[in-house]
Amino acid sequence: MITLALFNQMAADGVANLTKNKDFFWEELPLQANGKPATGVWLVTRGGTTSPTARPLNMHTTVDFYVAFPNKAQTEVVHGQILDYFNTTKGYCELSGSVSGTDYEYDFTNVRIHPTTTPQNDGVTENGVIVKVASVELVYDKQQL
Amino acid sequence: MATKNITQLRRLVLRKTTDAGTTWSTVTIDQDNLGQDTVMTVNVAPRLMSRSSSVATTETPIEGTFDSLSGSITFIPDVWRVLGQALDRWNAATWAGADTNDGNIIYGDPTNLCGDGAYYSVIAQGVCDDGSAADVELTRCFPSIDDDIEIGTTDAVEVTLNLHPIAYNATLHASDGYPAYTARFGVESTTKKTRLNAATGVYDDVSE
Repeated sequence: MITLALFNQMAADGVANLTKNKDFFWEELPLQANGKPATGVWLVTRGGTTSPTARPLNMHTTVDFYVAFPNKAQTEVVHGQILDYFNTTKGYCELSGSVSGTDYEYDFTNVRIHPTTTPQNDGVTENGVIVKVASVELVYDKQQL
Repeated sequence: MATKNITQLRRLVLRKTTDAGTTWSTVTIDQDNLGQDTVMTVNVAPRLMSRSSSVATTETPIEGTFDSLSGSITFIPDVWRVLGQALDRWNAATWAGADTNDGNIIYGDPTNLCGDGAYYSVIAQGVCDDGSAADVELTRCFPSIDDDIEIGTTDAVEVTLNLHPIAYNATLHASDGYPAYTARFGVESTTKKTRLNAATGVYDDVSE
C-alpha cells in the first residue's frame, strides 16, 4: 500500500502534470480500447527489508517509476520532473487515506524518500514506445489501523 | 500520529550566543546537506566504578559523570560556505556581485590562534516533530574537522564534524546563557510544549 500512498500523494501534488488513471497508474499499465498499452507513468513495487524484530518501523520498499511517452524527449522530461519533485520533497510526515471509501485504509508515517537510480531504457511497449525506468527507495513506519 | 520518530533527524542547528542567551546566531544544516546514512553520533557513556568481591567483579555507572563524552555530525557541505559556517570560520566575500557561497575558510592564520572561545549548542531536530520530542542537544561544543576531507570526482564530499562537547560545570557555566546540563534527548521543556526556531535559535512555545 505504500506505493499506492505515494501514488495518491504525487497525483494530489500534480507532479509532472500527471493525471490519475489517465496517464498515471498504480502497479500496471492498462490497455486502451484498441488493446494497446496506454502511455504515461506507472509505479511498480519492489520489496525491501523489514525490521528484524518484525515491528512495522523503518520498512524499506523500492518503487520503480516506468515512464513511456511517444515522444522520447517527453519521457526524459517527465523523469526529470519526478526526480526534481523528490529532491524537493524528501519525505512525508504522514501518508494516510483509503480506497473505496473506507474499505482499504492505510497510514504511513515518517516516510523518507531516497532516489536511487537515474532512468534506464527498459525496452519498448507493444505500441513501440520506449520505456524508461528509475527508482526511489522509501523508508517508512506503518501505523496500525 | 507517530511523528516523533528519532530516526528522521533531518535538520541540525548550531546556535551560539555572545550575550548570555539574549540573542543567538544560528547555522542550519538542512536536509539538502545531510546524507542518507548516519547523521549524528553521540556518546554519553558514564564512568564505571569497578567493585571486586569474593563472588564477583561488577561495574556500576557513576551518576553525573562521562567516560567518553563525544559527538559528531556527518553532512555533505557541497560548498565551502556550509562547512565554514558550521565551524564558525566563514569569511564571506564582499565584492560587488558576490553570492552567498563566495568566501573562504582560512587555516593557519597566526592572528587567530585562539578563536573567539565561544561554544556552540548543537541541536538535531526531527522534521516531523511539531515540538521537540525528537531533539538531541549537546549544549557546549567546539566543532572541528578531525578526519580527512576527501575531495574526488565520484562521490559527494562528506565530512564528519567532531563536536568536542564539554560537560556542564555549574561553577564555570552557570551564567553563560546555555542550558544548565550537558546533553538532552527529548523535549526542551517538560512543562510546556516548545519547538526550536531554527532562525532565531530560541525555543518558542507551541500551542496545541
